Amino acid sequence: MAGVKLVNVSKVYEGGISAAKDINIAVEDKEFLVLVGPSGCGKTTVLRMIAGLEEITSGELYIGDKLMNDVPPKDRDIAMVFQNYALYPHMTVYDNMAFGLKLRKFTKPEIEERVTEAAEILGIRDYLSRKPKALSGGQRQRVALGRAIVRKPKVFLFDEPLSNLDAKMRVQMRAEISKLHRRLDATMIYVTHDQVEGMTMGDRIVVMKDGVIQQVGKPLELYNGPTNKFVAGFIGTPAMNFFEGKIRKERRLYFEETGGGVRLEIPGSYEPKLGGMAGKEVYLGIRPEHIQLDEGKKGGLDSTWPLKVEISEPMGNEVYLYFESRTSQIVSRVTAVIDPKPGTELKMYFDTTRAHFFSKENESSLSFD
Amino acid sequence: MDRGYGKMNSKSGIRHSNSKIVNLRSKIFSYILYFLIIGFTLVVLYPIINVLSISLRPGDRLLSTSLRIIPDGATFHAYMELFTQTPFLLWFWNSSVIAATVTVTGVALASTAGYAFSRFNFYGKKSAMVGLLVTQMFPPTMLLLPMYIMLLKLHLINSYFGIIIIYTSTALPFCVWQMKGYYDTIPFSLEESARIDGSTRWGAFTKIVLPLAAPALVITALFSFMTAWAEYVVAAQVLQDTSLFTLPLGLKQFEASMSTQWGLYAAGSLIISIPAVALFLFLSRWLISGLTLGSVKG
Repeated sequence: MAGVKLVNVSKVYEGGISAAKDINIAVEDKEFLVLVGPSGCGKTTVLRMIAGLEEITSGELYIGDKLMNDVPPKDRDIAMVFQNYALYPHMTVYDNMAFGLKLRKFTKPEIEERVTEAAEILGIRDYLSRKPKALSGGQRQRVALGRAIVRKPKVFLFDEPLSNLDAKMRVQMRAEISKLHRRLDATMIYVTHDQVEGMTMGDRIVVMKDGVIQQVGKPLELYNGPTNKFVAGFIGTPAMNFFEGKIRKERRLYFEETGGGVRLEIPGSYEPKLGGMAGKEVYLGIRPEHIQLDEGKKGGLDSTWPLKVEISEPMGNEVYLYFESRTSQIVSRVTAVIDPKPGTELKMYFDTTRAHFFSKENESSLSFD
Repeated sequence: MDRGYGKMNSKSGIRHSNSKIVNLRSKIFSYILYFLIIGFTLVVLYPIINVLSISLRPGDRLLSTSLRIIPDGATFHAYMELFTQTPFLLWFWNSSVIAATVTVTGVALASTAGYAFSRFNFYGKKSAMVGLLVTQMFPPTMLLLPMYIMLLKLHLINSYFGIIIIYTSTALPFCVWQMKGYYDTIPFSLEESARIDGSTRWGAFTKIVLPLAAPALVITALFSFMTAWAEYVVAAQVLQDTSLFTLPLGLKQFEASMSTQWGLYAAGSLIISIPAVALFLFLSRWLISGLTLGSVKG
């Protein structure tokens, strides 16, 4: 096993289109790193550069201690699971899994042992003689995983492997890949646009946008301490609520939404960072679970505001309440068992001790460094 | 209760009569279809049956008032004469060598060139593709003179090599285009996966892409073979030495201004068609769709 290091790696396509800019990531040995971001953010390009399927325009890529920029994919000792499975349709499941081992001149008994072992782990032993077209989506993805694990490579690369599966199968396979990671104790780099996969599977997450890394950190670090508005909005479901407004300093600090919308007290703990920002335009970000029904005992902050319910979505164990403010749509995640009619006015408590503030100019966090 | 059953019965009665009408319609439709199919088959088969009949007639009678397929006094004399008293086997050999070489060269070049056009971006790619297409727009006879002059300058008139070059270059543009088109339907990720599994680019091409492109390879092979096997016009210009004659040139030998040997002509024609039919039947097993089914999420 080995770590992977990208040093100032960039990718510029013909015509000057830049897909990845100055990527610096150090993936530890045996780490599960998730690259996450919206479509077109460059995460797959980064993965393909690690795989050797895309040339690196500038920068250095190391797998272990070896510089890999000009090493062909076959000599990088990596395995990759593709979004669309990429199984060889003219070969049986067994041959699909044995293909890489045959090319590496493994003996027949060795190949059989490894393929059988992998098939056992993935529960596809009964399908070894079938062709891919005779398998379901989930089974095909298992074969693709099997093809990767039989080789016991230094690094596993996953390119959105679950995005073609239905929701139930996705949850199941997510758990299986996590289990596989623990079992194989291997370095894994996983690309996805689904932040839930990142949060649930990754040891660390790299959030990308427009070819640039926005933040690298452990899932909860990103959730609780996003360094900019993009990361704050990308991580978490439902997404964080944002309000546009100004900081106002009276006896205490307040946030006032533009156009006479919500007015919320900012706790004293923010004073050192926001005290000097009075009069400046900022974004206030607050997660849906931090906007609750006002039950009267919420820490003494003047941050309760009446809002009219637009839609209510009961989820069984919780309710999503949607409101409209002056500058945005607000969603609140309430654990109470209520089902208010549209138009009902509710007094909502904004737990501003958990709020985030972002600069209006560059959208970077004012509350975290 | 009774009324209820009555309703159900009348409903099912309507359904029953509806399905009867549908069945009748589909029967009439299939009768018309079969009638047309049989009609077209007869139109296609008639000349072949006629040629068979001529080849079996005693003497060299082209025309006959009889409609019998096997004529009175049917004989294999023409076939025996064809093999024993004419250089038919030599022509057969010449045609086989030329057609086989054109087929192998055509498949080798079209499969690799088509791959390059499908997978790589290079300067002049678009112009080259259009250029290939343009060559298909000229009638072959128009190219005869320039090709003849070229071969003359290269001292390739009257040689296998000369005619093979012409046939291959005539067949290639279509083959390259159709190979390229087929490769375009094979997902890139299959090759990428093979390259990560340990293949070289060439290995991924031969082990993954080529087996999946079997139907296109078969079309290329058949097209190349047919370009060379039954061609007359170009062969008549390039090959002048009778020992190098191909089957179509040889057959023409049986034709004279006063007395054409129709029996030999017909027998030869039938035998010429056998390898082409056999090759088609043999290769048709690879003419199947859906080879890439299951490889990627559709």
